[in-house]
Amino acid sequence: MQAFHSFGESLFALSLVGSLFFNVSIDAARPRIILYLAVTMAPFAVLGPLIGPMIDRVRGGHLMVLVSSLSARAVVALLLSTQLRSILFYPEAFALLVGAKVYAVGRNSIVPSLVGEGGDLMSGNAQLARVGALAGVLGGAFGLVLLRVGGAPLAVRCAALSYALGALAALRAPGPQPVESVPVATETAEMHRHGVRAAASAMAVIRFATGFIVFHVGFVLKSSGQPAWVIGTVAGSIALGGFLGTFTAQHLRRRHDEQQMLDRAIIGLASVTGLTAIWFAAPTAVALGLALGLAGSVGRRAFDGIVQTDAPHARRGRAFAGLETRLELGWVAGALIAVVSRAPGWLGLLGLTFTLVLIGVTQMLRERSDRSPIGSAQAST
Amino acid sequence: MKSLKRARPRFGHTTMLLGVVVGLCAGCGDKLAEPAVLRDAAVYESALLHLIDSSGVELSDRWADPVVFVETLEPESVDLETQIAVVDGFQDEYRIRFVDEISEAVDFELPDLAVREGTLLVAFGPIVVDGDDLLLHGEYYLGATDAAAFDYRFQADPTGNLVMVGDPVDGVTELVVADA
Repeated sequence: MQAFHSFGESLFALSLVGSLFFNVSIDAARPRIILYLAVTMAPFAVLGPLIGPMIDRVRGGHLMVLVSSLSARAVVALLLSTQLRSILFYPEAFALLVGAKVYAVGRNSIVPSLVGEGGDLMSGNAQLARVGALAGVLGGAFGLVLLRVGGAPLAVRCAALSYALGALAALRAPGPQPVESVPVATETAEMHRHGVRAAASAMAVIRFATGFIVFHVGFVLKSSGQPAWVIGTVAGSIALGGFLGTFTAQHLRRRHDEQQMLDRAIIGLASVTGLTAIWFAAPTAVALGLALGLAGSVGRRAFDGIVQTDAPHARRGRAFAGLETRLELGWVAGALIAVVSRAPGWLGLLGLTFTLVLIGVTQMLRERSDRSPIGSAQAST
Repeated sequence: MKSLKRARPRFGHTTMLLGVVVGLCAGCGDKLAEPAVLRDAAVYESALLHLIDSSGVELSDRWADPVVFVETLEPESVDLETQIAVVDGFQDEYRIRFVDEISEAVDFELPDLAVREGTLLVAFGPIVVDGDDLLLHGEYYLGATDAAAFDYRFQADPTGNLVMVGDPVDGVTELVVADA
Protein backbone atom coordinates (compact mmCIF):
# COMPACT_ATOMS: atom_id res chain seq x y z
CA MET A 1 0.00 0.00 0.00
CA GLN A 2 2.73 2.46 0.99
CA ALA A 3 4.78 1.54 -2.10
CA PHE A 4 1.86 2.17 -4.45
CA HIS A 5 1.06 5.44 -2.67
CA SER A 6 4.64 6.72 -2.89
CA PHE A 7 4.99 5.59 -6.50
CA GLY A 8 1.82 7.56 -7.34
CA GLU A 9 3.04 10.57 -5.36
CA SER A 10 6.22 10.83 -7.42
CA LEU A 11 4.29 10.54 -10.67
CA PHE A 12 1.86 13.24 -9.54
CA ALA A 13 4.66 15.55 -8.38
CA LEU A 14 6.42 15.22 -11.73
CA SER A 15 3.22 15.80 -13.66
CA LEU A 16 2.95 19.22 -12.00
CA VAL A 17 5.90 20.26 -14.17
CA GLY A 18 3.69 19.90 -17.24
CA SER A 19 0.65 21.40 -15.57
CA LEU A 20 -0.61 24.92 -15.11
CA PHE A 21 1.41 25.16 -11.93
CA PHE A 22 4.55 25.91 -13.94
CA ASN A 23 2.94 27.47 -17.02
CA VAL A 24 0.96 30.41 -15.69
CA SER A 25 2.44 33.40 -13.90
CA ILE A 26 2.76 32.88 -10.17
CA ASP A 27 1.49 36.38 -9.47
CA ALA A 28 -1.70 35.67 -11.40
CA ALA A 29 -2.17 32.26 -9.76
CA ARG A 30 -1.24 33.38 -6.23
CA PRO A 31 -4.75 34.36 -5.02
CA ARG A 32 -6.08 31.01 -6.26
CA ILE A 33 -3.27 29.04 -4.59
CA ILE A 34 -3.78 30.94 -1.32
CA LEU A 35 -7.51 30.25 -1.44
CA TYR A 36 -7.03 26.53 -1.97
CA LEU A 37 -4.29 26.20 0.64
CA ALA A 38 -6.63 27.89 3.12
CA VAL A 39 -9.41 25.57 2.02
CA THR A 40 -6.98 22.65 2.41
CA MET A 41 -6.67 23.48 6.11
CA ALA A 42 -10.41 23.36 6.70
CA PRO A 43 -10.95 19.63 6.09
CA PHE A 44 -8.38 18.86 8.77
CA ALA A 45 -10.38 20.79 11.29
CA VAL A 46 -13.31 18.60 10.25
CA LEU A 47 -11.57 15.29 9.60
CA GLY A 48 -8.93 15.47 12.32
CA PRO A 49 -11.29 14.88 15.23
CA LEU A 50 -13.18 12.23 13.22
CA ILE A 51 -10.29 10.01 12.13
CA GLY A 52 -9.19 9.07 15.67
CA PRO A 53 -12.62 7.99 16.94
CA MET A 54 -13.25 6.18 13.63
CA ILE A 55 -10.07 4.16 14.10
CA ASP A 56 -10.96 3.58 17.75
CA ARG A 57 -14.60 2.69 17.53
CA VAL A 58 -15.64 1.62 14.05
CA ARG A 59 -14.86 -1.96 13.13
CA GLY A 60 -12.40 -1.76 10.24
CA GLY A 61 -12.18 2.00 10.75
CA HIS A 62 -8.46 2.04 10.05
CA LEU A 63 -9.06 0.39 6.68
CA MET A 64 -11.88 2.78 5.93
CA VAL A 65 -9.60 5.81 6.32
CA LEU A 66 -6.86 4.35 4.13
CA VAL A 67 -9.06 2.82 1.44
CA SER A 68 -11.30 5.87 1.16
CA SER A 69 -8.41 8.36 0.98
CA LEU A 70 -6.57 6.28 -1.65
CA SER A 71 -9.74 5.60 -3.68
CA ALA A 72 -10.69 9.28 -3.60
CA ARG A 73 -7.21 10.21 -4.77
CA ALA A 74 -7.43 7.70 -7.63
CA VAL A 75 -10.72 9.21 -8.82
CA VAL A 76 -9.53 12.82 -8.49
CA ALA A 77 -6.23 12.03 -10.24
CA LEU A 78 -8.14 10.49 -13.12
CA LEU A 79 -10.25 13.65 -13.42
CA LEU A 80 -7.15 15.81 -13.12
CA SER A 81 -5.42 14.01 -16.01
CA THR A 82 -7.88 15.64 -18.41
CA GLN A 83 -7.76 19.04 -16.75
CA LEU A 84 -4.09 19.81 -16.22
CA ARG A 85 -4.53 22.97 -18.26
CA SER A 86 -7.98 23.99 -17.11
CA ILE A 87 -9.23 26.19 -14.27
CA LEU A 88 -10.38 22.99 -12.53
CA PHE A 89 -6.71 22.06 -12.08
CA TYR A 90 -6.45 24.03 -8.82
CA PRO A 91 -9.39 22.55 -6.87
CA GLU A 92 -8.52 19.06 -8.06
CA ALA A 93 -4.81 19.34 -7.27
CA PHE A 94 -5.61 20.62 -3.78
CA ALA A 95 -8.24 17.91 -3.29
CA LEU A 96 -5.41 15.45 -4.02
CA LEU A 97 -3.31 17.23 -1.42
CA VAL A 98 -6.07 16.88 1.18
CA GLY A 99 -6.29 13.17 0.30
CA ALA A 100 -2.53 12.81 0.81
CA LYS A 101 -2.73 14.45 4.22
CA VAL A 102 -5.68 12.30 5.31
CA TYR A 103 -3.78 9.21 4.14
CA ALA A 104 -0.69 10.30 6.11
CA VAL A 105 -2.73 10.93 9.27
CA GLY A 106 -4.50 7.58 8.89
CA ARG A 107 -1.33 5.61 8.14
CA ASN A 108 0.70 7.13 10.96
CA SER A 109 -2.15 6.55 13.40
CA ILE A 110 -2.51 2.91 12.38
CA VAL A 111 1.13 1.82 12.40
CA PRO A 112 1.37 1.83 16.23
CA SER A 113 -1.58 -0.57 16.39
CA LEU A 114 -0.05 -2.81 13.74
CA VAL A 115 3.30 -3.16 15.48
CA GLY A 116 1.53 -4.11 18.72
CA GLU A 117 2.57 -3.80 22.36
CA GLY A 118 6.02 -5.33 22.08
CA GLY A 119 6.80 -4.06 18.59
CA ASP A 120 9.24 -1.30 17.78
CA LEU A 121 7.35 1.66 16.35
CA MET A 122 10.54 3.31 15.14
CA SER A 123 11.61 0.23 13.16
CA GLY A 124 8.11 -0.30 11.82
CA ASN A 125 7.88 3.23 10.51
CA ALA A 126 11.47 3.11 9.22
CA GLN A 127 10.61 0.02 7.20
CA LEU A 128 7.55 1.75 5.77
CA ALA A 129 9.63 4.84 4.96
CA ARG A 130 12.26 2.76 3.14
CA VAL A 131 9.67 0.99 1.04
CA GLY A 132 7.97 4.32 0.33
CA ALA A 133 11.20 6.10 -0.55
CA LEU A 134 12.35 3.32 -2.88
CA ALA A 135 8.98 3.29 -4.60
CA GLY A 136 9.13 7.11 -4.77
CA VAL A 137 12.53 7.08 -6.49
CA LEU A 138 11.33 4.39 -8.92
CA GLY A 139 8.16 6.41 -9.54
CA GLY A 140 10.28 9.49 -10.22
CA ALA A 141 12.44 7.69 -12.78
CA PHE A 142 9.38 6.12 -14.42
CA GLY A 143 7.64 9.52 -14.37
CA LEU A 144 10.47 11.17 -16.30
CA VAL A 145 10.05 8.53 -19.03
CA LEU A 146 6.27 8.99 -19.02
CA LEU A 147 6.62 12.78 -19.31
CA ARG A 148 8.79 12.29 -22.36
CA VAL A 149 6.52 9.67 -23.96
CA GLY A 150 2.99 10.79 -23.13
CA GLY A 151 3.35 14.05 -21.23
CA ALA A 152 1.84 15.04 -17.89
CA PRO A 153 -1.65 13.53 -18.52
CA LEU A 154 -0.18 10.03 -18.90
CA ALA A 155 1.88 10.49 -15.70
CA VAL A 156 -1.27 11.50 -13.75
CA ARG A 157 -3.25 8.57 -15.17
CA CYS A 158 -0.51 6.21 -14.00
CA ALA A 159 -0.58 7.94 -10.58
CA ALA A 160 -4.36 7.28 -10.45
CA LEU A 161 -3.73 3.62 -11.24
CA SER A 162 -1.09 3.47 -8.52
CA TYR A 163 -3.46 5.00 -5.93
CA ALA A 164 -6.17 2.51 -6.95
CA LEU A 165 -3.74 -0.40 -6.52
CA GLY A 166 -2.79 1.10 -3.15
CA ALA A 167 -6.47 1.09 -2.13
CA LEU A 168 -6.72 -2.58 -3.14
CA ALA A 169 -3.56 -3.35 -1.15
CA ALA A 170 -5.02 -1.48 1.85
CA LEU A 171 -8.02 -3.82 1.76
CA ARG A 172 -5.62 -6.70 2.31
CA ALA A 173 -3.73 -4.97 5.15
CA PRO A 174 -3.80 -6.87 8.46
CA GLY A 175 -6.12 -5.54 11.14
CA PRO A 176 -4.66 -3.85 14.20
CA GLN A 177 -3.84 -6.05 17.14
CA PRO A 178 -6.46 -5.93 19.89
CA VAL A 179 -5.39 -3.67 22.75
CA GLU A 180 -6.79 -2.97 26.15
CA SER A 181 -9.14 -0.02 26.26
CA VAL A 182 -7.52 3.03 27.85
CA PRO A 183 -9.46 6.01 29.20
CA VAL A 184 -9.26 9.11 27.05
CA ALA A 185 -7.92 11.03 30.06
CA THR A 186 -4.89 8.69 30.20
CA GLU A 187 -4.20 9.20 26.50
CA THR A 188 -4.51 12.97 26.86
CA ALA A 189 -2.23 13.02 29.90
CA GLU A 190 0.41 11.03 28.02
CA MET A 191 0.25 13.33 25.02
CA HIS A 192 0.81 16.32 27.30
CA ARG A 193 4.03 14.96 28.76
CA HIS A 194 6.94 17.32 28.37
CA GLY A 195 8.96 15.00 26.10
CA VAL A 196 6.05 14.30 23.76
CA ARG A 197 5.14 17.98 23.53
CA ALA A 198 8.73 18.98 22.79
CA ALA A 199 9.04 16.25 20.14
CA ALA A 200 5.71 17.23 18.58
CA SER A 201 6.82 20.89 18.43
CA ALA A 202 10.12 19.94 16.77
CA MET A 203 8.34 17.69 14.30
CA ALA A 204 5.82 20.44 13.53
CA VAL A 205 8.75 22.79 12.75
CA ILE A 206 10.17 20.24 10.29
CA ARG A 207 6.76 19.80 8.67
CA PHE A 208 6.39 23.60 8.48
CA ALA A 209 9.80 23.86 6.80
CA THR A 210 8.82 21.11 4.36
CA GLY A 211 5.65 22.93 3.27
CA PHE A 212 7.55 26.20 2.96
CA ILE A 213 10.47 24.77 0.97
CA VAL A 214 8.30 22.77 -1.44
CA PHE A 215 6.38 25.88 -2.53
CA HIS A 216 9.11 28.48 -2.16
CA VAL A 217 11.78 26.49 -4.01
CA GLY A 218 9.19 25.41 -6.61
CA PHE A 219 8.48 29.06 -7.38
CA VAL A 220 12.18 29.99 -7.40
CA LEU A 221 12.97 27.12 -9.79
CA LYS A 222 10.23 28.35 -12.12
CA SER A 223 11.44 31.95 -11.89
CA SER A 224 15.01 30.94 -12.70
CA GLY A 225 13.84 29.13 -15.83
CA GLN A 226 14.94 25.66 -14.79
CA PRO A 227 13.94 22.85 -17.17
CA ALA A 228 11.65 20.01 -16.14
CA TRP A 229 14.44 17.54 -15.40
CA VAL A 230 15.96 19.84 -12.72
CA ILE A 231 12.61 20.17 -10.95
CA GLY A 232 12.18 16.39 -11.21
CA THR A 233 15.65 15.82 -9.77
CA VAL A 234 14.91 18.10 -6.79
CA ALA A 235 11.67 16.18 -6.13
CA GLY A 236 13.60 12.89 -6.39
CA SER A 237 16.27 14.11 -3.98
CA ILE A 238 13.59 14.60 -1.27
CA ALA A 239 12.59 10.94 -1.65
CA LEU A 240 16.23 9.85 -1.66
CA GLY A 241 16.88 11.91 1.50
CA GLY A 242 13.92 10.17 3.15
CA PHE A 243 15.39 6.79 2.27
CA LEU A 244 18.88 7.65 3.54
CA GLY A 245 17.34 9.14 6.68
CA THR A 246 16.06 5.76 7.83
CA PHE A 247 19.67 4.49 8.02
CA THR A 248 21.07 7.76 9.38
CA ALA A 249 18.49 7.64 12.18
CA GLN A 250 19.69 4.19 13.26
CA HIS A 251 23.27 5.46 13.33
CA LEU A 252 22.37 8.62 15.29
CA ARG A 253 20.27 6.67 17.77
CA ARG A 254 23.36 4.85 19.01
CA ARG A 255 25.00 8.14 20.02
CA HIS A 256 22.15 10.51 20.86
CA ASP A 257 18.75 10.41 22.46
CA GLU A 258 15.67 11.08 20.35
CA GLN A 259 15.25 14.74 21.31
CA GLN A 260 18.86 15.41 20.35
CA MET A 261 18.20 13.69 17.02
CA LEU A 262 15.28 16.05 16.42
CA ASP A 263 17.41 19.08 17.29
CA ARG A 264 20.16 17.93 14.96
CA ALA A 265 17.67 17.35 12.18
CA ILE A 266 16.47 20.97 12.54
CA ILE A 267 19.97 22.45 12.75
CA GLY A 268 21.20 20.31 9.83
CA LEU A 269 18.28 21.44 7.69
CA ALA A 270 18.94 25.06 8.73
CA SER A 271 22.59 24.77 7.60
CA VAL A 272 21.73 23.53 4.11
CA THR A 273 18.88 26.05 3.82
CA GLY A 274 21.33 28.84 4.69
CA LEU A 275 23.81 27.59 2.11
CA THR A 276 21.09 27.48 -0.54
CA ALA A 277 20.00 31.01 0.41
CA ILE A 278 23.53 32.30 -0.20
CA TRP A 279 24.06 30.40 -3.44
CA PHE A 280 20.89 29.28 -5.17
CA ALA A 281 21.57 26.99 -8.11
CA ALA A 282 20.39 23.60 -9.34
CA PRO A 283 23.02 21.65 -7.28
CA THR A 284 22.18 23.47 -4.02
CA ALA A 285 18.45 23.03 -4.67
CA VAL A 286 19.07 19.28 -5.02
CA ALA A 287 21.16 19.35 -1.80
CA LEU A 288 18.31 21.17 -0.05
CA GLY A 289 15.86 18.51 -1.25
CA LEU A 290 18.17 15.82 0.09
CA ALA A 291 18.54 17.60 3.45
CA LEU A 292 14.78 18.09 3.66
CA GLY A 293 14.09 14.39 3.09
CA LEU A 294 16.85 13.45 5.52
CA ALA A 295 15.63 15.81 8.27
CA GLY A 296 12.03 14.68 7.85
CA SER A 297 13.00 11.03 8.03
CA VAL A 298 15.40 11.34 11.00
CA GLY A 299 12.89 13.58 12.80
CA ARG A 300 10.09 11.12 12.23
CA ARG A 301 12.12 8.18 13.58
CA ALA A 302 13.06 10.19 16.68
CA PHE A 303 9.47 11.33 17.18
CA ASP A 304 8.24 7.74 16.94
CA GLY A 305 10.83 6.66 19.51
CA ILE A 306 9.69 9.32 22.00
CA VAL A 307 6.01 8.52 21.51
CA GLN A 308 6.70 4.80 21.95
CA THR A 309 8.49 5.44 25.26
CA ASP A 310 6.51 8.34 26.75
CA ALA A 311 3.01 7.78 25.39
CA PRO A 312 2.55 4.01 25.02
CA HIS A 313 -1.24 4.19 25.28
CA ALA A 314 -1.84 7.45 23.46
CA ARG A 315 0.09 6.29 20.40
CA ARG A 316 -3.05 4.52 19.23
CA GLY A 317 -6.30 6.09 18.23
CA ARG A 318 -7.75 9.54 18.61
CA ALA A 319 -5.07 11.39 20.58
CA PHE A 320 -2.36 10.39 18.14
CA ALA A 321 -4.56 11.14 15.13
CA GLY A 322 -5.15 14.60 16.56
CA LEU A 323 -1.42 15.14 16.88
CA GLU A 324 -0.77 13.89 13.34
CA THR A 325 -3.41 16.28 12.10
CA ARG A 326 -1.63 19.21 13.73
CA LEU A 327 1.63 18.13 12.09
CA GLU A 328 -0.06 18.14 8.68
CA LEU A 329 -1.48 21.59 9.45
CA GLY A 330 2.10 22.70 10.09
CA TRP A 331 2.93 21.66 6.52
CA VAL A 332 -0.02 23.63 5.13
CA ALA A 333 0.91 26.69 7.24
CA GLY A 334 4.48 26.62 5.86
CA ALA A 335 3.17 26.35 2.30
CA LEU A 336 0.72 29.19 2.90
CA ILE A 337 3.44 31.51 4.21
CA ALA A 338 5.65 30.71 1.20
CA VAL A 339 2.86 31.67 -1.19
CA VAL A 340 1.60 34.73 0.70
CA SER A 341 5.02 36.22 1.50
CA ARG A 342 6.14 36.60 -2.16
CA ALA A 343 9.67 36.79 -0.77
CA PRO A 344 12.64 36.70 -3.18
CA GLY A 345 14.35 33.29 -3.27
CA TRP A 346 17.31 34.14 -1.05
CA LEU A 347 15.25 36.15 1.45
CA GLY A 348 12.65 33.42 1.97
CA LEU A 349 15.34 30.79 2.54
CA LEU A 350 17.31 33.10 4.82
CA GLY A 351 14.17 33.81 6.85
CA LEU A 352 13.55 30.08 7.17
CA THR A 353 17.20 29.52 8.18
CA PHE A 354 16.93 32.05 11.03
CA THR A 355 13.62 30.56 12.15
CA LEU A 356 15.05 27.03 12.19
CA VAL A 357 18.24 28.10 13.99
CA LEU A 358 16.26 30.06 16.56
CA ILE A 359 13.90 27.18 17.28
CA GLY A 360 16.66 24.55 17.18
CA VAL A 361 18.92 26.46 19.57
CA THR A 362 16.03 27.31 21.91
CA GLN A 363 15.04 23.63 22.03
CA MET A 364 18.64 22.59 22.75
CA LEU A 365 19.01 25.15 25.55
CA ARG A 366 15.68 24.15 27.07
CA GLU A 367 16.72 20.53 26.97
CA ARG A 368 20.02 21.30 28.58
CA SER A 369 18.25 23.09 31.40
CA ASP A 370 15.79 20.19 31.71
CA ARG A 371 18.71 17.78 32.07
CA SER A 372 20.07 19.74 35.00
CA PRO A 373 18.91 18.39 38.41
CA ILE A 374 16.63 21.40 39.02
CA GLY A 375 15.23 21.35 35.48
CA SER A 376 14.42 17.65 35.47
CA ALA A 377 12.63 18.00 38.80
CA GLN A 378 10.52 20.82 37.34
CA ALA A 379 9.83 18.93 34.10
CA SER A 380 8.58 15.87 35.92
CA THR A 381 6.08 17.84 37.98
CA MET B 1 -28.38 15.95 27.87
CA LYS B 2 -25.71 13.54 26.71
CA SER B 3 -27.19 13.33 23.23
CA LEU B 4 -27.34 17.12 23.02
CA LYS B 5 -23.65 17.34 23.81
CA ARG B 6 -22.90 14.90 21.01
CA ALA B 7 -25.13 16.67 18.53
CA ARG B 8 -23.37 20.03 18.80
CA PRO B 9 -19.97 19.08 17.39
CA ARG B 10 -21.66 17.15 14.57
CA PHE B 11 -23.52 20.30 13.58
CA GLY B 12 -20.20 22.15 13.72
CA HIS B 13 -18.53 19.60 11.48
CA THR B 14 -21.37 19.67 8.98
CA THR B 15 -21.27 23.45 8.85
CA MET B 16 -17.53 23.46 8.32
CA LEU B 17 -17.79 20.76 5.66
CA LEU B 18 -20.43 22.82 3.87
CA GLY B 19 -18.11 25.80 4.15
CA VAL B 20 -15.36 23.81 2.47
CA VAL B 21 -17.67 22.73 -0.36
CA VAL B 22 -18.92 26.29 -0.84
CA GLY B 23 -15.33 27.55 -0.78
CA LEU B 24 -14.29 25.02 -3.40
CA CYS B 25 -17.24 25.92 -5.63
CA ALA B 26 -16.55 29.63 -5.21
CA GLY B 27 -12.93 29.05 -6.08
CA CYS B 28 -13.72 27.09 -9.21
CA GLY B 29 -16.07 29.66 -10.65
CA ASP B 30 -17.11 29.52 -14.24
CA LYS B 31 -14.94 32.27 -15.58
CA LEU B 32 -13.61 30.03 -18.34
CA ALA B 33 -16.99 30.22 -19.94
CA GLU B 34 -16.96 34.02 -19.95
CA PRO B 35 -16.94 35.41 -23.50
CA ALA B 36 -14.38 38.08 -22.53
CA VAL B 37 -11.86 35.40 -21.50
CA LEU B 38 -12.35 33.45 -24.73
CA ARG B 39 -12.20 36.67 -26.77
CA ASP B 40 -8.96 37.83 -25.14
CA ALA B 41 -7.42 34.36 -25.43
CA ALA B 42 -8.24 34.29 -29.16
CA VAL B 43 -6.55 37.68 -29.61
CA TYR B 44 -3.38 36.59 -27.78
CA GLU B 45 -3.26 33.24 -29.62
CA SER B 46 -3.53 34.92 -33.01
CA ALA B 47 -0.80 37.45 -32.16
CA LEU B 48 1.39 34.70 -30.66
CA LEU B 49 1.27 32.69 -33.88
CA HIS B 50 2.28 35.77 -35.86
CA LEU B 51 5.14 36.60 -33.48
CA ILE B 52 6.48 33.02 -33.52
CA ASP B 53 6.40 33.02 -37.33
CA SER B 54 8.01 36.48 -37.56
CA SER B 55 10.85 35.56 -35.23
CA GLY B 56 11.90 32.69 -37.50
CA VAL B 57 13.09 30.83 -34.40
CA GLU B 58 13.43 27.07 -34.41
CA LEU B 59 11.93 26.09 -31.09
CA SER B 60 13.75 23.19 -29.50
CA ASP B 61 12.03 20.36 -27.66
CA ARG B 62 14.90 19.89 -25.21
CA TRP B 63 12.57 21.10 -22.44
CA ALA B 64 10.13 18.27 -23.21
CA ASP B 65 8.04 20.70 -25.33
CA PRO B 66 8.99 23.71 -27.44
CA VAL B 67 8.69 26.62 -25.01
CA VAL B 68 7.45 30.14 -25.66
CA PHE B 69 7.79 32.46 -22.67
CA VAL B 70 5.17 35.19 -22.39
CA GLU B 71 5.73 38.38 -20.43
CA THR B 72 3.17 41.14 -19.86
CA LEU B 73 4.32 44.72 -20.35
CA GLU B 74 1.91 45.91 -17.66
CA PRO B 75 1.71 43.95 -14.42
CA GLU B 76 -1.16 41.46 -14.23
CA SER B 77 -2.66 42.67 -17.50
CA VAL B 78 -3.48 39.08 -18.47
CA ASP B 79 -5.67 37.45 -15.84
CA LEU B 80 -5.31 33.84 -14.74
CA GLU B 81 -8.34 32.57 -16.67
CA THR B 82 -7.04 34.08 -19.92
CA GLN B 83 -3.55 32.66 -19.29
CA ILE B 84 -5.07 29.21 -18.78
CA ALA B 85 -7.10 29.50 -22.00
CA VAL B 86 -3.98 30.52 -23.97
CA VAL B 87 -1.84 27.73 -22.48
CA ASP B 88 -4.63 25.25 -23.27
CA GLY B 89 -5.06 26.59 -26.80
CA PHE B 90 -1.47 25.73 -27.71
CA GLN B 91 -1.18 22.46 -25.81
CA ASP B 92 -0.55 20.33 -28.91
CA GLU B 93 2.06 22.66 -30.41
CA TYR B 94 4.01 24.68 -27.85
CA ARG B 95 4.31 25.01 -24.13
CA ILE B 96 3.30 28.57 -23.36
CA ARG B 97 4.84 29.73 -20.06
CA PHE B 98 3.69 33.03 -18.61
CA VAL B 99 6.59 34.48 -16.63
CA ASP B 100 6.76 36.75 -13.60
CA GLU B 101 10.39 37.64 -14.03
CA ILE B 102 12.43 38.06 -17.17
CA SER B 103 15.14 35.81 -15.69
CA GLU B 104 12.83 32.88 -16.36
CA ALA B 105 13.30 33.37 -20.09
CA VAL B 106 16.59 35.22 -20.55
CA ASP B 107 19.96 33.64 -19.84
CA PHE B 108 22.03 36.52 -18.49
CA GLU B 109 25.19 34.46 -18.96
CA LEU B 110 24.76 34.38 -22.72
CA PRO B 111 26.19 37.12 -24.94
CA ASP B 112 23.66 39.64 -26.22
CA LEU B 113 21.39 38.80 -23.26
CA ALA B 114 19.79 36.10 -25.39
CA VAL B 115 16.80 33.99 -24.42
CA ARG B 116 17.43 30.41 -23.32
CA GLU B 117 18.51 28.21 -26.20
CA GLY B 118 15.69 27.05 -28.44
CA THR B 119 13.05 29.26 -26.83
CA LEU B 120 11.33 32.55 -27.60
CA LEU B 121 10.24 35.40 -25.37
CA VAL B 122 7.07 37.24 -26.30
CA ALA B 123 5.68 40.31 -24.56
CA PHE B 124 2.17 41.74 -24.73
CA GLY B 125 0.60 44.99 -23.69
CA PRO B 126 -3.01 45.05 -22.51
CA ILE B 127 -5.86 44.61 -25.00
CA VAL B 128 -7.33 48.04 -25.76
CA VAL B 129 -10.91 48.48 -27.00
CA ASP B 130 -11.12 51.00 -29.85
CA GLY B 131 -14.76 51.28 -30.95
CA ASP B 132 -15.61 47.88 -32.42
CA ASP B 133 -11.94 46.98 -32.76
CA LEU B 134 -9.46 45.49 -30.32
CA LEU B 135 -5.86 46.73 -30.34
CA LEU B 136 -2.87 44.81 -29.06
CA HIS B 137 0.83 45.60 -28.88
CA GLY B 138 3.07 42.52 -29.11
CA GLU B 139 6.83 41.93 -29.27
CA TYR B 140 9.20 39.07 -29.67
CA TYR B 141 12.66 39.00 -28.16
CA LEU B 142 15.54 36.65 -28.97
CA GLY B 143 18.39 38.89 -27.80
CA ALA B 144 19.26 42.52 -27.20
CA THR B 145 19.80 43.05 -30.95
CA ASP B 146 17.16 40.66 -32.19
CA ALA B 147 13.73 41.91 -31.22
CA ALA B 148 10.72 43.34 -33.03
CA ALA B 149 7.38 44.88 -32.13
CA PHE B 150 4.01 44.89 -33.86
CA ASP B 151 0.68 46.61 -33.31
CA TYR B 152 -2.33 44.45 -34.10
CA ARG B 153 -5.94 45.34 -34.81
CA PHE B 154 -8.73 42.78 -34.49
CA GLN B 155 -12.36 42.90 -35.59
CA ALA B 156 -15.29 40.52 -35.35
CA ASP B 157 -16.23 38.99 -38.71
CA PRO B 158 -19.91 38.46 -39.68
CA THR B 159 -19.90 35.09 -37.91
CA GLY B 160 -18.68 36.71 -34.70
CA ASN B 161 -15.13 35.31 -34.86
CA LEU B 162 -12.27 37.70 -34.21
CA VAL B 163 -9.96 38.21 -37.17
CA MET B 164 -6.78 40.23 -37.56
CA VAL B 165 -7.41 43.32 -39.66
CA GLY B 166 -4.74 44.02 -42.28
CA ASP B 167 -1.06 43.41 -41.68
CA PRO B 168 0.38 44.12 -38.24
CA VAL B 169 2.10 47.50 -38.11
CA ASP B 170 5.71 47.66 -36.98
CA GLY B 171 5.84 49.10 -33.49
CA VAL B 172 8.42 50.24 -30.98
CA THR B 173 9.90 47.63 -28.63
CA GLU B 174 9.14 48.34 -24.97
CA LEU B 175 10.68 45.27 -23.35
CA VAL B 176 14.12 46.35 -22.14
CA VAL B 177 15.83 43.22 -20.89
CA ALA B 178 19.09 44.91 -19.91
CA ASP B 179 17.25 46.75 -17.13
CA ALA B 180 15.62 43.61 -15.73
